Amino acid sequence: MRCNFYQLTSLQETLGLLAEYGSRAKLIAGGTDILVGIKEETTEVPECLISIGHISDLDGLKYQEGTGLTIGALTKVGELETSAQVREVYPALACAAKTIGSRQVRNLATAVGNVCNASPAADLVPVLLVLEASVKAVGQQGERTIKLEEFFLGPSQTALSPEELVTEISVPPPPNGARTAYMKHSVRRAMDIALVGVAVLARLDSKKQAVEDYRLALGAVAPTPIRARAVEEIILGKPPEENTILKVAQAASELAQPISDIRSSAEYRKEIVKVLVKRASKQALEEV
Amino acid sequence: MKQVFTLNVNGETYEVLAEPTEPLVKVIRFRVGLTGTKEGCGTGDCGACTILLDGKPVTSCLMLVAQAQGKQITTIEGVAQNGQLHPLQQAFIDHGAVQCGFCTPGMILSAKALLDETPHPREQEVREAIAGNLCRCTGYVKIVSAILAAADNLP
Repeated sequence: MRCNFYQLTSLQETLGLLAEYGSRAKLIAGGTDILVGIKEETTEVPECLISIGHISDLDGLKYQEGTGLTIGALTKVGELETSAQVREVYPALACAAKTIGSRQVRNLATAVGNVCNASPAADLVPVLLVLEASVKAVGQQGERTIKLEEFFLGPSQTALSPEELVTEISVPPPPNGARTAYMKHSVRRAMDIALVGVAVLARLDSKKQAVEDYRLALGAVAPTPIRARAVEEIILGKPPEENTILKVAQAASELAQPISDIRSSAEYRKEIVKVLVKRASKQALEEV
Repeated sequence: MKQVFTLNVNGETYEVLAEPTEPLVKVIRFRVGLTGTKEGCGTGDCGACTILLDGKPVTSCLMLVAQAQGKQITTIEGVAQNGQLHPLQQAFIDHGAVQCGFCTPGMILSAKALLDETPHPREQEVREAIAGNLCRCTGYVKIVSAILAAADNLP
């Protein structure tokens, strides 16, 4: 691979380079997607490759009770899997992290990279969507916060301008008493891409008789990971009964617009959405 | 343009001349000259190129040499100490866990990372730790029993 390669330790200088090269530059943190893409010739060799792995300001996974979790751009997927606080407060996030690649890949790949690659099948994203996470985008012109729900425009397409990079993901604390679940269907149990990924966040009212919060997000069944808001309304305010959960699952399956590809047919994916939405909803609701 | 990189491999410092975008596995094999680390798929799927980076297993085919600067690299050549095989290496021999041998360096490094953190793992933990290491001779049973036996022999 021949390209201009930069590895700086200063964020400001990196932003300057990014402004200079714009869309002719690619950022590399963990590198587990871009290097595979270049090797398999599905990604063009960029004119300029900028490694951000040595910018210490971007490191760090922080949790504070009131404000929630901050995932710095260099935080490895493996850190989400093993962090005691993530496992306790955001168990579905730790669970989704564990389904990505192998241990070796999770020790290299970053959570922010998983988000910024904008794969429709990215495992962390459905969980981050139900947790209503946002990203901080920084460029030479300043910084802005983008809700994750508005971040994805299509496969490999995000709302970032070519001059911006994501420095962190913010994940608010889940509502008191809420439970989350992530379920993934893939052919192999390890080292496989999701055919379908489903994340649910649910909470019952204080009498445990009605569903007060219910959030649903789907991966790998549309051009981007999606928050299934239209479906959520079906169960809100209702008792957490089997029939209602089945209606939600059916509606989610109808909402999904998967493609047929080498891993699965669209029809199969729709059927799996139904099954996983049912199972994930039950897990999130029954454990309340 | 080639640059000089300073790498710490198995406790020794090596200065190598390489393109910054060369995969670390190639630099370890052909510029440092330690060929125990194998390159299989080159896309992070097979785990043959597994090394330890600051003690954690990573696929060295998915790293550029520039990214490894300032980190401690352990390859299979650094596992035996003072001419004594590591208990894992001895257990692989004793349990017939080596067939063609191509996956063995990566298997042992993934297993070492596990035992360094979890000296007495359950079988499920062993299987999860080597989920990213493929053996195409398909002898996982003996590999798993070798790792469990090595764990039993640890203090």
